[in-house]
Amino acid sequence: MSRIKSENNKKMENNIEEKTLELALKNSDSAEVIYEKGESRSISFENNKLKSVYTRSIRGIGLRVIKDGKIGFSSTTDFRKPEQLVTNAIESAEFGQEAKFEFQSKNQYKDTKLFDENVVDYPIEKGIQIGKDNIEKALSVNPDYECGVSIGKGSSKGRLINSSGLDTSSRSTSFGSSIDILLVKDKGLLWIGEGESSVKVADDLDKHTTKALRDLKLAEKVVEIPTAGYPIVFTSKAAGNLLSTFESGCNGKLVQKGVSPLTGKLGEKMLDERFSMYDDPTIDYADGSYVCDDEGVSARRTPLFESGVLKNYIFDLQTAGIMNTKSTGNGTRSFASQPSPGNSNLIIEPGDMKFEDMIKDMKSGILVDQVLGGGQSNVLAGEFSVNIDLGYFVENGEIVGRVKDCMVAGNVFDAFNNIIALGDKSDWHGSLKVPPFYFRSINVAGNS
Amino acid sequence: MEKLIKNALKSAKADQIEIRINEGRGTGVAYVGKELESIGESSIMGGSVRALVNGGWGFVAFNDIENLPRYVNMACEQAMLIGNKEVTLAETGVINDVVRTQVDVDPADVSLIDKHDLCQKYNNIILSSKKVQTSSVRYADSHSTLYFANLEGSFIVSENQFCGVSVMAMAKDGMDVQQAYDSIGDLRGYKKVENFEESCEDVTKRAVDLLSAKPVEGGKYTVIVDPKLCGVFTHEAFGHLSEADFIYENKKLREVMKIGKRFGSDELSIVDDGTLEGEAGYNKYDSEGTPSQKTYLIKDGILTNRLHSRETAANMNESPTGNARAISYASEPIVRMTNTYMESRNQMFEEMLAGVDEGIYAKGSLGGQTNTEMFTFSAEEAYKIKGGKVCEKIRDVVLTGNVFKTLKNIDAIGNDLVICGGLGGCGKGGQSPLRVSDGGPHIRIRNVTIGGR
Repeated sequence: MSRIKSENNKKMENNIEEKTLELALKNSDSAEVIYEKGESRSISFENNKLKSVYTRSIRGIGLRVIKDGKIGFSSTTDFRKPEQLVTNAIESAEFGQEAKFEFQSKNQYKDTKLFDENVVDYPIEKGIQIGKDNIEKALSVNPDYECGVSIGKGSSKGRLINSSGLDTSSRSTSFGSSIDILLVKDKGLLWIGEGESSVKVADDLDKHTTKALRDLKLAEKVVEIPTAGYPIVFTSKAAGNLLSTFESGCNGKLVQKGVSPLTGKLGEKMLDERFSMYDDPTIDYADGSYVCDDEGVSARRTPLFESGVLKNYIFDLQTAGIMNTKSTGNGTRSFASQPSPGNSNLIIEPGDMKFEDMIKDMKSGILVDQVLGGGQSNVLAGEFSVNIDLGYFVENGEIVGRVKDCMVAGNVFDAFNNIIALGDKSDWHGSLKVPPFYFRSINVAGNS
Repeated sequence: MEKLIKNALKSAKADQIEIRINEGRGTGVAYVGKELESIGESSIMGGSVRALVNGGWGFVAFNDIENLPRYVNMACEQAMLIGNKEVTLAETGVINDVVRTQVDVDPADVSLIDKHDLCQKYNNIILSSKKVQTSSVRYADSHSTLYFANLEGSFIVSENQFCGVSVMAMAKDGMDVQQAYDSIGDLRGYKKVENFEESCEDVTKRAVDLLSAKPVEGGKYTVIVDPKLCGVFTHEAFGHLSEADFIYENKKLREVMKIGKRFGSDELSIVDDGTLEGEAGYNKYDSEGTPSQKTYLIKDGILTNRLHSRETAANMNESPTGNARAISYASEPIVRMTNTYMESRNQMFEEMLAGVDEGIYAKGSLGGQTNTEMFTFSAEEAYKIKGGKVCEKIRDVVLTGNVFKTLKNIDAIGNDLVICGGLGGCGKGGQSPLRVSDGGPHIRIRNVTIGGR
């Protein structure tokens, strides 16, 4: 959720937000109300055919109170009973954690573009046509392909008001398009998915279809490889799976609990010096951008790693209060939950090697584009162990076929100190902007 | 509510309309380390309409249920945008029923302070170990009343009371962080969550022990998995592939998944059973109002049936199985599992073990994933097996398999079926976590690929 500017809401004094805040303050010292309303519409094609049109019009309200120095919280989507919401929040405060912060007062926010009128005006019929065209294109290559297309748009409104005088509203939009193609062969299945999302209209599905079709061709032949350490290139699509350790490691909550492996390591060089990672909610039209976080703290760019050196953790108000530091503007939540530290956009700076040159450079190596089972190992400690859902064996700089039924495993703290090169271009995948990574050697459990 | 829903249906012009309204409340308590992170009660009210017009589906979800008639029209209009093919729905009959689940102790009758104290007690057990860095104890219950109605005249009111707890211990030594986890959760009531002390002690010990365990070496192994991990294996390795929405409009896959095809040995039977009252995946009716049932997916090694919605069943000319489930009012029903398990056979665990010269014993689960052909499943705890004996503890054991090969590599099935629910659940099509139970006995699988350094 994100907000653009403070608006004068005097006309709407009978709103549920005001009513709830007023009721809450009768029984608490201070209070904060978050309201969200989201409208989304999407279409989906399954098995080459248009299947459904969806609309979701969902709204809800959350109330956080501080009573006798303790935090209480409750939420509801049932707007008929604000009294019940207030009672629940006040009851919760009897047990709640000691508040280590005060609600934000009025703030000046820097403008970041989060709204595109073209998304609101986008006719869903256009999406239907794009879906049809792309499926036709895929089927002209191979009539046995089974395609799914999903195109969706959304807009949301949010408002945050509190007893310190903060009253901020926002509007934002989102758009997503994706295609997946399945090929059933005698010896198994091949499934490739491509797509993108943005605040702006992102309906150039054609480039994703083209990539998927090229990959399907490359993956036609399956090759066997023995278990060994290999040089490995992770495409930017797959690289995100390796970054979750750094993401959770920099999370102030996990630092506060003492379980982040990065606890007490600020200022230490931990990773290859070419590795720099930022949390940045201030980028126009990016998926994870906002002007202030979900507790009204202004957005800012925070370096997490610079030249391999750990620079910062991210915080919300309460966690920062406990740690005797300041919020970094990363208090994230939905109306149904209390804030906790969360990343906005994660930006990894690119390096200097062309993706094509990485492949050309490998004598005997593996290119990984999709993985299966990410996040199910001990992520916090940096362990990864994933099935190579879509990957290729590279011999003398050429892709020779698909590797299948193989696992790639290691520890990210080893891998990111063993980098041959970072790609010269970072790509957006949701709220993550990341280049491809070329690692010297990671172990692969083979299929032969 | 009944009047509002029935009136809204009257004006509808469609081949089928389903209305689902959910009114509910839930309590949550969460301790992480010394801090009580959250506590309290929340409520929800919302609904959705799904319309079928000339073979196209329109779906609308909303919270302002007073505007229901408007949303019925909107769903119909959206469906008409598609209308390009024939879709028939399998017959389920007109059902009028009120379903109330039986609970031992109603969580709603337990005060918030008692729920808090229970969590605090579990949290203190975990934190009492000096080697534990932090803990996580979560309690959740929900009471929901679901109204279902369709154009054919069915009207079903179902009441559900889910209740569960999860506990986790995290131990740390330098950069190494290890964790152990356990959870229970089902529709039986509050009693079960009151006796979880042993699990708290167990996760504490396991997390600490993992600090001295060595990472597994990558390669192929003979593996014995415990009932909990067998459940996840059954769910990921075969359950998802038996969901007919994936198969029904794909000619080639229909050939691959032909009823009568052999998938495993004569010993192998896999069941999905939504009628197991009290289990996390129990429903008397699914989200399309179809009665749930016990379905053999594999019987004696042979593919015998699959999981259906009304649409997939009619399309494949098979019987509906009551497996169209929506995670909430805001999502459409899709084909899902309920309680899925592998049936017991007669091997004793000790016999199974004796047959392994070198291998791995993998227990508990950190989750699993599938692309329907290939799948992964992660063990929470693992040991080397040498000369038929369970030896030293190892860690980071993530197993992978291929549905067309791995089921055939099961060479021993135990006699100790256990079915587990929990606070987690299954994810599919953006709907997660759906309450399900999985289970199985101890089984032995040959030639399993495990990733490792």
